[in-house]
Amino acid sequence: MEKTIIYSAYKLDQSEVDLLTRKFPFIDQSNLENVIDKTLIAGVVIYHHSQIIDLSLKGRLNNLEKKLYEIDR
Amino acid sequence: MKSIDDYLKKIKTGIVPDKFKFRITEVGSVVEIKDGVAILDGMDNVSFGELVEFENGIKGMVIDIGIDKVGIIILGDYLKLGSGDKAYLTGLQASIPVTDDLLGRVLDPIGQPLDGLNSPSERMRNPLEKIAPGVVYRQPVSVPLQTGIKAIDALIPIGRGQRELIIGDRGTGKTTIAVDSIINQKGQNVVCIYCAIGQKESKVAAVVDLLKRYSVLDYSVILSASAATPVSQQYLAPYSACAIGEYFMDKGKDVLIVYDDLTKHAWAYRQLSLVLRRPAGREAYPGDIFYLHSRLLERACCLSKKYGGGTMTALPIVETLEGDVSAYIPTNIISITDGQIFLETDLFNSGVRPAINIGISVSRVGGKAQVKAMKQVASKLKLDLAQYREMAAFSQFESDLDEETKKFLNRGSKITQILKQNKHQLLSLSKQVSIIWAGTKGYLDELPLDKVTQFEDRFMEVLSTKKNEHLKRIEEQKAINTSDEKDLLLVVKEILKEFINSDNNKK
Ligand SMILES: Nc1ncnc2c1ncn2[C@@H]1O[C@H](COP(=O)(O)OP(=O)(O)OP(=O)(O)O)[C@@H](O)[C@H]1O
Ligand SMILES: [Mg+2]
Repeated sequence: MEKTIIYSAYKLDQSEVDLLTRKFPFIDQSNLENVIDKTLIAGVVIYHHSQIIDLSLKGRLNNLEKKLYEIDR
Repeated sequence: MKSIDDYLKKIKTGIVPDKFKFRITEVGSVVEIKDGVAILDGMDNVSFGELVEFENGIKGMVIDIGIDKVGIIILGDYLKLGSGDKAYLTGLQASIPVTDDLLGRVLDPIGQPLDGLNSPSERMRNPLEKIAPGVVYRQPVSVPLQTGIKAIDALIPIGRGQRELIIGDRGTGKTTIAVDSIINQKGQNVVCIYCAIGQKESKVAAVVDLLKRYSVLDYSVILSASAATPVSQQYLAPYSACAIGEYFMDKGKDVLIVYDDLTKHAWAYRQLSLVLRRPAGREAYPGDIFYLHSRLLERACCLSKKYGGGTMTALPIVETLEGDVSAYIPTNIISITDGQIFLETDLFNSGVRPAINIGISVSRVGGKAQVKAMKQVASKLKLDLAQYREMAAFSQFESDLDEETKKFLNRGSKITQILKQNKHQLLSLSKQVSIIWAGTKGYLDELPLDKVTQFEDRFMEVLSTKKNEHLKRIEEQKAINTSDEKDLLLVVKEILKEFINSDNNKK
């Protein structure tokens, strides 16, 4: 089984991991890694198999940037 | 120029602070880059033809799905990608922007401008791959598409919504016929699309220039994936062109689309398939090479009135080697299309231009669309030509021929001469009917062969200056009646007299 990896801007504590697990039941806490990535600014990015769920501030800002460009068209 | 305020207003309305929602995105990473193709790891839930976006903004399209690898053709500069780069699935199908503003433009297969103007607006997009309309959406071909070329309009008529193959060796005038057909659509309210696949840039530039010169670019779109572009672009080009054509067809317009040429398209697909390690079959083409072209050409059709009544006429071009039509790609495409115009090097070199071999060229559906006036004169033409061919083959071995045979031979040679036509000198329906009428009625039998072209020029001149109302009537009624014939005969006799007099004067 591949690991689920959660990237976050700071180390997650157990209660936060529990919250995420409740929201995303596919997370298996015994096979989970937490990686710190300061560039995310806030929030988390979950990697599970070939899927990613981007819940970070960085991702939201990127989307905003894209939308601004699209409006210019 | 828009003011800052305008932008701000747009941004305010455009970016609705949507409720917090998340999306699951499929991701993969590049493990291999080949010529125009990337192999990705990951992307477990992916569908065929889906668009992916690489980290640096380059887009790609899924064309191969394996157990744990996905093949992507890269729509952009693949040299900017490296192994390990991430790619994200967008959930969209590959598509091309379509608007009315595309008319007059020169684009590449993903809709980027090649003419130095702005990118087209993205308001609406059409998918590159689409299943062709089913039987209920269609109706039989009923309106002719005049090419302006005598030999084609009379003997191999093309209808709107038909697919007619133009096939021949290198340099036999294939492109010229296709481009002339586009030029002849001036004022006919037909949208023309010229799709160049794997052509030299110089040749495409020449076509663009020609269309500009005849001011027909305003109702045309040119889509080019030249020989210098990655094969992935060449592979996509005809589908993009077709997607643009469908946009106009769905609006009820008549569309003429030229694929120049599908041999190079097959080569591009063969290369892609070999790079993707698909099993190679005959001539190293992959197994689905037939479907490659059938699904493309099936999209050309004649929609029924209920669905807007638009049509898309396709003129695919195929290049043969040494006139070999039994090679793999030619046989495939001949079996898909509704007929073929066969061009021969021998004819071309002996001065018969357009170099159409009438005997083996056919149009399987266009006859129904042919107008009455043309039918009236063309049936006789077909008969005369068939007899001529038969006699000509025999007479090679005979020294003294009887009168009857001589007559057929003479008539045939005159008619063959009439069917010659210089490039870009296109004739309206009424003019074509008039000259073919004169030939098949035998009025040119007395004229020396080398005078026929001269006669034709003079005939056309007199008709368009003095008998304009006549031409108009034939054009409107689409038939030729006895009073027309009487009038035409007078003109013919007058010109013949002129010719004889000038001959006598010289003597
Ligand atoms: N009806 C014609 N009268 C006079 N010249 C012609 C005619 N048709 C074609 N030509 C000339 O023949 C040459 C070859 O024509 P064209 O480029 O259309 O051939 P092609 O079959 O498309 O060639 P290729 O295989 O290189 O694409 C051109 O120089 C063109 O001007
Ligand atoms: Mg050509």
